[in-house]
Amino acid sequence: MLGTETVQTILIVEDETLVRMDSADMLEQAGFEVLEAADASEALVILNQHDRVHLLFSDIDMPGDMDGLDLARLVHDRWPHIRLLLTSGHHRLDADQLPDAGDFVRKPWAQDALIVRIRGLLAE
Amino acid sequence: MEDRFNEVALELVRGEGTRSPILVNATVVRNRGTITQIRFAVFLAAERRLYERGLLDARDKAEAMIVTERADSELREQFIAVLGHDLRNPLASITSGIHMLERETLSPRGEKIVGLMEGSVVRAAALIDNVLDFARGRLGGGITLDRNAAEPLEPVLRQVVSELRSIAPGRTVNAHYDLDEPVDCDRVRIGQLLSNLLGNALTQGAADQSVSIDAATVDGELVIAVSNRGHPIPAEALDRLFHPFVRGTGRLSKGLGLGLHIASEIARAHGGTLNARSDEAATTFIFTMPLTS
Repeated sequence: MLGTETVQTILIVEDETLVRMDSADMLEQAGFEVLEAADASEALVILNQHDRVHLLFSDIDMPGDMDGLDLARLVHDRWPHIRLLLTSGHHRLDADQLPDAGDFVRKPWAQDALIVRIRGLLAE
Repeated sequence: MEDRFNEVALELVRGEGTRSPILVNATVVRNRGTITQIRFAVFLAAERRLYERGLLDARDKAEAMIVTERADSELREQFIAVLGHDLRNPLASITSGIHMLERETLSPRGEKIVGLMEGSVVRAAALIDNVLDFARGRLGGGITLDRNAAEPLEPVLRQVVSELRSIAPGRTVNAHYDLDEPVDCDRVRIGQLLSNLLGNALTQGAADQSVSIDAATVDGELVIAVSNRGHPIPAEALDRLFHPFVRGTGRLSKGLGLGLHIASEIARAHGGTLNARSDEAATTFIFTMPLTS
């Protein structure tokens, strides 16, 4: 089925530069197209420019007016087709604290397990 | 009058004309049916009110204290959580940097340096976990668990063993897993417990001897045993091993002496036990907990 497979795009939102770069490397290696933002407002700028983001992968604790949870809720309202995956080493979230299309993974995540979660969300 | 009455309100008029409200209680004392005494208790109504006021004040104070205590404990938890987050964040950054460097082509020297850096990060992270848990315990909180029987424990244990191997690249660490049944535990905490036991075995054990780990589900229990060779620990010292700040006599005993203490606290929080035995053949720490809580 050559040519019918589309590359899926993930937007990473993470304020720690090295962590963001490492995550982006890893997801690119797994075959995703990756966009990067350092906080919620950068993420919104990118989302307004690209209409093909499939999944938002965001840290919860971030500087600025919005944290990752606020961002996820806003994204879910405006772009309901975008899947949401939140991460934190500090907070623990239950499914009912997240918008419908969302999931939570605790930091530090294992690379393979993270990619399985992302593929699972994108397949829904 | 029946045999008693309570709180009959009267007023006394003093010689100089001031009035004092009083309350009177009375009780009849009988001896074989015959009334022998009538006891009256007379007290100033104002004193009674003062007494009641005092009780109410004491209750309000106690309630206020509970509220303050609750606020204090929330503040304490928040402080420890934020401190932990702020200490771990830079470590997470360094770990990411190391991972990216590992994907580059490095010289053999570069590879060695990156490996050692990784080991240092693991040591720092373990220290942060233990110190924060100790602080939480000393400040009045306990170890809290996030139990989950649905997720497998083995990958977490394997990860810990591989991290500790990176700290001690020259050492042989033999691990054997036989975990067929689900374990209702906090996997991160059990990982921390294993990390502390293994870290202890690597620093206290003979450097030229191997360390072994056996993790198994047997007869409704999870059993993790960590053994090292080397000089046996004297019997009188075995009991004190799990007290905080007790440090071994091994080559690298410059630590805080919190690792085994926190490990035993994690065991206790899971309704389990952590025991040590030591002889010429080996020193072994055995953690046991029920599979279901």
